[in-house]
Amino acid sequence: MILDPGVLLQVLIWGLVIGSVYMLLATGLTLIFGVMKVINFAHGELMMTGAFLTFLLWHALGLHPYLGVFVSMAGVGLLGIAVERLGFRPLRGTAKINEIFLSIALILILQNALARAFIPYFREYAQIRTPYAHRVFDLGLLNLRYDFAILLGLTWAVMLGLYLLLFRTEFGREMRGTSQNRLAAALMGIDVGRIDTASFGIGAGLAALAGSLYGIINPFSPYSGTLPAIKAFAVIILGGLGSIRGAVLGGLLYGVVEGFATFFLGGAWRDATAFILLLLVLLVRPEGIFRERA
Amino acid sequence: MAPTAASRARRTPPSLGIALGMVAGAALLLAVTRELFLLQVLTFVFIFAIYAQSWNLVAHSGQFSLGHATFLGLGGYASILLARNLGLPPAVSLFVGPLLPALVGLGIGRLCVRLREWYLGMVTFGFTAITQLLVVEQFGWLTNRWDGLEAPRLLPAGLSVEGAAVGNYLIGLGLMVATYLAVASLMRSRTGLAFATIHDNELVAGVSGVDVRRYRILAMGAGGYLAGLAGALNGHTLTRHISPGVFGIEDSIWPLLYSIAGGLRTPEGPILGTLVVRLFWELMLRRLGGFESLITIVLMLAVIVRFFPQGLYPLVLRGVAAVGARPAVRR
Amino acid sequence: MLAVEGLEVEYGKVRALWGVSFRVDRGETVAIIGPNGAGKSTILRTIAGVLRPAGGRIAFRDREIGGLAAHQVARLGVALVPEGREVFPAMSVVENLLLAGRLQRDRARVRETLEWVYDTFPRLAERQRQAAATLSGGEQQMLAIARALMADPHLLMLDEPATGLSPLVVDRIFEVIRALGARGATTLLVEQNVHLALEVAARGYVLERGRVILAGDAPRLLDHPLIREAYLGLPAAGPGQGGGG
Ligand SMILES: Nc1ncnc2c1ncn2[C@@H]1O[C@H](COP(=O)(O)OP(=O)(O)O)[C@@H](O)[C@H]1O
Ligand SMILES: [Mg+2]
Repeated sequence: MILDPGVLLQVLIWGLVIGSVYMLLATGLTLIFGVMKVINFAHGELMMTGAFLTFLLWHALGLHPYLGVFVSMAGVGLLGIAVERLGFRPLRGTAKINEIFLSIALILILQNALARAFIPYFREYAQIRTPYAHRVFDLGLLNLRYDFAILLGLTWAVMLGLYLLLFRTEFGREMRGTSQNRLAAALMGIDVGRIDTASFGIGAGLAALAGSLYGIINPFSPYSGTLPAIKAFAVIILGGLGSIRGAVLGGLLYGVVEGFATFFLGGAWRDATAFILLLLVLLVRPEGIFRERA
Repeated sequence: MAPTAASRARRTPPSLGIALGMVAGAALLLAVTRELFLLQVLTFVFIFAIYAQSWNLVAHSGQFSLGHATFLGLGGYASILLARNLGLPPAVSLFVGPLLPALVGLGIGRLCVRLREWYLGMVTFGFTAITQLLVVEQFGWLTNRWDGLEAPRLLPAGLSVEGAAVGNYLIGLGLMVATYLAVASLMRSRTGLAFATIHDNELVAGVSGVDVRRYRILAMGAGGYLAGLAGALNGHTLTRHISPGVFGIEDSIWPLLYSIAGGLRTPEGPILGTLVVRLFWELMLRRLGGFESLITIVLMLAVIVRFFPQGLYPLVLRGVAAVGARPAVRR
Repeated sequence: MLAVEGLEVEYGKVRALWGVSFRVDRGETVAIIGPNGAGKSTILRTIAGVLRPAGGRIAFRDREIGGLAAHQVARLGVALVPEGREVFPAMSVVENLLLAGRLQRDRARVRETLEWVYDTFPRLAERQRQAAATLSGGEQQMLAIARALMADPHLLMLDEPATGLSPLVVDRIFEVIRALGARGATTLLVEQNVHLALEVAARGYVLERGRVILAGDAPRLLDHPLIREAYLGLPAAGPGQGGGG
């Protein structure tokens, strides 16, 4: 009954779409960690800030969501830059607990700022509606929602851009160099502070894209970012902290596994998948998670 | 440079004196006022000072837990279920229930024994979400899912409102002071010294013969018990109800904020921090909304971290020393 | 070229350097020698801008550089080959080299320098597509030196380039240092191996516990009783009898 290939394909597509959200989050997290050796615990909240910005641009100004996404990425990117400059930079070189404190405190600040700004206007949950909400491509075996196709295309375009930036430009080489060896990078004349700022900005921008995608396919609230962020933590621990490839493959794979687990085992298992995976790794290969490679 | 464990111990006043001071202060307050709201706020402070004490103890062994709500919530659920379903008196279940988070703490400690800093943070952070999921979904039949459970009262039913408030206040005070004395003596013991050594440098600790694994796991277990005790106490006295909301991020963050505000790695810091932050919070709530208050609190803490990285307790000590210095000079 | 005066450096509240002064003239190879923990690396790290001086002055080409950030110092033409090599592990050899090549203004000269560096270290040419992490210790040290040379620096600083390497590799590396000197390069060399260092250097400074205790021309230092006794294990005077190793 459920082994109909069309249905399985549908589940796969769904997994890839939600996997794109995890991939974007994990990539940003791992990029920031690689360069700054800081985990941004508030990544899920940056994500929701992105979702709300896109939502607001559409809801209040009538901006097309697929254009709003870019404005939102830029806006949250700037927010990330501010967070790095005003928050993490002064703490560099002090006790680790200070960075952890800031990272965790940002969750409360962003969540409550969002809740304060949006809940009075939009009740508890909001969703971004695109003009294509009910349109589908009929591909024979499966019906592909317009939105899914656009979201996958958009994500991959952005990821391709990131790849070109990192591996085909001088700036990308500087960034990878800083991530691999900060001291050596500074000795090569690289302004590592500028790289910190850029990586946080890019990571935040990717989170905003993830949030906007999420907000197009799900209703969301200021608190919706927490679980996806925790899953992204699991993904980057599995994929190796600092590894972009691990984040991309891990994020997509995770989305697909979650999709199938939900489909076959039921919704209660959707969020459990991450932790079961995480536990398995901790039990089976705890040394594997210490690998840091860019 | 950071003071060594030994020099820290020398400079801190004796904990028994401080405990007596806290009891005296709290009793004095009770003699002056029976203002219900104030008693409730302070009861809350006592309970969450236990919780912060637990976080701080674990941090003392070099482990920054970002999932402490796991222990808080499990302690509450275990004790309430023991009282409801097995008919244990809450005065007993209060102490038996936290054995569950203690066990879970040992398990998490064992699993994460090689993780540090950000890794440990991410994993413990995730554990809270797993626990919530388990409590709601897999054990939903026991826990009544999102609706949660009514908690039996700790105090006998016949008490007046004021009597109950005073009772809760005294119980909270007693347990907080007991916890304080226990943690203070633990920190001073060989075990506490081992914790501190691990915190300062795990490698050095291992080389100098400290069984890092054992002490790290032990710290998580002890932390689990104390946090669970706070959760159970909170459920049976103040909230009289527990729901999966207890496994939220905020409840994992608070003990960190309290401890940092008061001063990490001293048994007094978490108490001072909880008191100051909580009173400030209540004052602010009268003027601002909840969202704004939270943001203000966090910003205030950021200022503390920035300018008083050792927290507020050293300031208090210095203040006391400045007052106490004069007779000493004369002598 | 480089003049350091009264340099003081602290790690937290622990002082590592107590008023160190020395100079390196254009075209000169100068050695700083001293036992482990004397503060040699601290001197180089401070000049390179990795550490901030607590006092004293560092003049490079008549410009005060004390307190500049590491990337600023690097851009002025100071290259440090740090202790422990510090290569970019996941990058290929050629990527490592090109990253340093950016410090040259003239794009055309980057290619030229690359050729020359490969001529100097043919091993690196053979492995140019290999990730730096897969190189042997000696090859990584060569890469670290080659990378510093890619910047075409005014001043080259080497922190214990011989430590932990096989005698063959050490010979090769010191050959290169000598050849660079012959080409007119300005080099500041830090070593624990006094013999090696004073053979390639024109002058040397002896550092102990954060202070310069002795300075002079290399041959004079090699003959100095203190050096003979404490560092070379020879009797304080008279012809060398080989001594213990
Ligand atoms: N990162 C550091 N933190 C604290 N002290 C340090 C640090 N690095 C070096 N030191 C101290 O500074 C002194 C000089 O060290 P260093 O410059 O590395 O010596 P050398 O290179 O001559 O072996 C030593 O006493 C060492 O213990
Ligand atoms: Mg050294």
